[in-house]
Amino acid sequence: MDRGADPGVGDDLLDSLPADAVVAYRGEPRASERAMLLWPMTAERRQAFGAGIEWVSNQLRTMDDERVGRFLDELADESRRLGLDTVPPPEEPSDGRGRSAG
Amino acid sequence: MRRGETFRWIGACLGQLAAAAALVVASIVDGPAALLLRAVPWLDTAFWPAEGAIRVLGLLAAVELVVRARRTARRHWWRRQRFDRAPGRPFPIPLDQRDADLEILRSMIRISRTYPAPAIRLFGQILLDPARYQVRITDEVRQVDECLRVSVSTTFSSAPDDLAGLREDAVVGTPGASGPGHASTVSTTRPAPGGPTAGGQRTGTASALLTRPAVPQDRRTGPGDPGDPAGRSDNPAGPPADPAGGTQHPPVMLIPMILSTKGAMLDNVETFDGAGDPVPFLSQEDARGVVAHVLRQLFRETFGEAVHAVEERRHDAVLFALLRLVFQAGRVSVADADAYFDRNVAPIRDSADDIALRRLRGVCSFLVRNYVVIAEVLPPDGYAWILRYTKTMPVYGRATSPRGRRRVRLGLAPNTFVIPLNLPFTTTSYHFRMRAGANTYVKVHSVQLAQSGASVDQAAIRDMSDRAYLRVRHRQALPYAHLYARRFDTCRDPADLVMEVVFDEVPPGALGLTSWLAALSALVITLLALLVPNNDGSRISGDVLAFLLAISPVAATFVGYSMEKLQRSSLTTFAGLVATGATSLVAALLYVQPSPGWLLAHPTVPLLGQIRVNLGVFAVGVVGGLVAAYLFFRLRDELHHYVDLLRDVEHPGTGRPGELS
Repeated sequence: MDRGADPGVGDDLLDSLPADAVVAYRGEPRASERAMLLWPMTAERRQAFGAGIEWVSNQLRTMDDERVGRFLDELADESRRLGLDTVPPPEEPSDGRGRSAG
Repeated sequence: MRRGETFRWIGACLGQLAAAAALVVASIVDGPAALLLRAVPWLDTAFWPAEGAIRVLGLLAAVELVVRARRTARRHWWRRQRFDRAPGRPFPIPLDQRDADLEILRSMIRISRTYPAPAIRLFGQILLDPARYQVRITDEVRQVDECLRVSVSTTFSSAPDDLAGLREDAVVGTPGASGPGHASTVSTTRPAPGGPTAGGQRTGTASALLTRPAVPQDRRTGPGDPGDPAGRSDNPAGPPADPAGGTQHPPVMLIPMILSTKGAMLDNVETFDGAGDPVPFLSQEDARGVVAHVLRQLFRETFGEAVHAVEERRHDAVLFALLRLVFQAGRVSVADADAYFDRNVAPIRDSADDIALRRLRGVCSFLVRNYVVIAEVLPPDGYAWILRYTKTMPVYGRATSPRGRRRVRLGLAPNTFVIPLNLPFTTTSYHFRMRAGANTYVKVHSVQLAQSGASVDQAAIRDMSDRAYLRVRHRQALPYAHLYARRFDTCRDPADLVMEVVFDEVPPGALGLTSWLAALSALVITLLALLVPNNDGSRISGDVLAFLLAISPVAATFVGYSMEKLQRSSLTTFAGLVATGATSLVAALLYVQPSPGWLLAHPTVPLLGQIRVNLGVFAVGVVGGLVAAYLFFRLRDELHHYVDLLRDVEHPGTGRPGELS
C-alpha cells in the first residue's frame, strides 16, 4: 500500500477501517501492479526467451569501446530523426505516508 | 543557535510570565488596586467603576503576557530542534540522452561479461513468470517498538532445464566454453524457435549489437548461435576474446528477490539464504544491466526481428527510448509513462503483436515505478532453494482519527493492524503469520479490498478464480494470526487486498485487575461514608486517609507492573484506572475537609439503628460503584467471548456458523 503512489487509496482505506487501525507501509508494488509484470511463457517461448537473452549477452560481451561509440552515435541520430520524446520528469519521492521524502 | 541565545529566550519567557503573575496579583488582591486609585484619584471619577475596570484590564494584560510567553517558548523549542537542518528533497537528476544510453549500454556489457548468460535467462524467467518458480512464500510479521518487522521467506523450485546451463557453465569452466561463445552449450541442446533468425541480407552496422549482425553466408555453419532455430552460427570460431579477460563465469544464479517501489526507502533490509548465511545483492547499476537484457528480449518478441539495417537502427532507437524511461531515476506517473510509451513506439507500431505490445507496456509501466533487488546466490545441489529477507515496515494512520490520537497521547500501543496482501498472487502457496505481544490473542482477522474496505469472503475468492483457496485461522483464541492462500496465481485479475488483524489482551488481564480495584475502591469509599462519616477537625483518621490515597498507586502498580502490558491494554482499562484514582482522591479530599452540616445525614437503618452518613463521600462511592459495574460488564463480555472461543475449539462443529473460515 502506497498512499503516495496512488492518492486516495490509503485515505479510503483508513476511512473504511476501525478508528484505531494502523496501516503497514511495505514499500512494495501492490498485487494489481505486480500483475503488469507477468508474462507467462509456454515451454517453447521460454526456450526462445532464454536463447535470445543468451545471444545478446554473448554479443555484448565482445563489444569494445569503438563499437560502443559508433552505436551511441547512430542511436542519437536515429532518435533525432524519429523525433523521440525526452523522458517525462519524475514525481516527487514519497515515504509512503503522503508526505515528501527528505 | 548562538551561545547565550538560549538564556535570552528563557529570560524573555520568564520575564513575561513574571509580569503576568504580578498583574494577576495586582488585579485580584485589593491592596494594589486601591493603591492605584489613591495615587490617581481622578480615575475613580473618570471611569466607572474604575476599580473593576482596572482589575479586568489587568487580568486581560496578564492573559496576553502568558500567550506571548507561550509563543516565545514555542519558537525557542522549534529553533532548538533544528528541524530545518534536514537535507531536504532530493533534486531530480537530469541526464543527457547520450549519457543515459551510455550508462545503460555499459551496464549491459558489464553484466554480460560478469555473469553467465543462463543466469540472466533464469532471472528473466523468474521475474516474468514468478508463480512457476516461487512455490511457497511465508510472510511473518512481528511488532518491534512502533514499527513492524517483516520476514519474507521464499521457496524457489526449478526444472532441470532451468539449471542445466548454469551447471554446465560451472563444470566446463574452460576459456573456450565459458567465454563469450559459451552459449553454444545451451543452444546445441535447445533450439530456439523464437530466437533471432538467420538475418538474411542485412548489412552490418554498429547498431547490430542488439539485433543479429550480418555475416557472410558461407560462415553460418556452426551450431554456436543459440538464437538460430537451425543451429547455425554467425561465428563458428566463437566470438572474439573477452575484452575484460574473464573467461570463466562463477556458478551463480541471479534471483529477483525484492520488488520495491521507487522512492521508497528500504529500512534495515537483510537477506539470507536457506542456511541463514547473508546473501549479497547486485548494485543498482548491475541490476539495471540485467533488467535491460530482459527488456531487450521482450522488445524483440513484441516487434519481431528487424530485417534491414534501417529497421535495426529504428528498433534500437525505440528500445533505448524505453530503457531510458524505465531507468529514469525517480518514479514517473503511469499516465505519463503510458503516453511516452505510445508516442515512442509509434514509428514501429505496425510490426508489433498486439498482445505482446500490451504486455510490454505493462512491464515498462511497472518498471518505471518499481525496481528489482537482485540477489546473487549459488545454484542448489537439488532443484529447490530458499531465500529470505527481513525489513522494517513503518506504520501510518496512528493519529488519523480522534480515537487513534487518544491512544497515542495515553501512550497505548496500536492493536489493530492493516497489512497489504501483495504476495499471494505470485506464488502457488502463501502463508502469513503474525504474533503480537505476550498475553494477547487474535480477536479479528479479516481480508478486505484495499480501495473500498469491503470484506472478502469465500464467494469473492471463487469469483477471482475457481482454483484459489483462502483460509484464515481466527476465532480460536490463538496468540498468532495465520492466513493461508493457495493458487492465487490463477486469478485472472489480481485485486489489491489487505488484511486487518485485531489483537486483544487475554481476559481478565489488565481490565480484570482494574475492575476489581475499582470495586474495592468503591466499597472502601462507601464504607468510609457510612462508618467514618465526619472529620470534626480534631481527630482525622490518618489510617483512613492513607488508605484512600494509596488506592491509586496500588491500582497503578497492580495493573502497570508490566509497562508493555499496560501499553497493550484498552482505552476502557485506562479510563477505568483514571476514574478509580480520581474517586479515591476526591474521597480523601472530602474527608480531610470538615463537613458542613447539610452534607451529613442521619438515616435509620434496620439492625444498625441511626447512622451518620457523609453524603459527599457517599456520592463519590456511588460513582466509583458505577465505574466498577461498567468495567465488570465489559470484563464479562470479554471473558464470555474468550471462553466461547476456547469451547468452540475444543468441540469443533458446535461453533456458530462462519466462525471458522
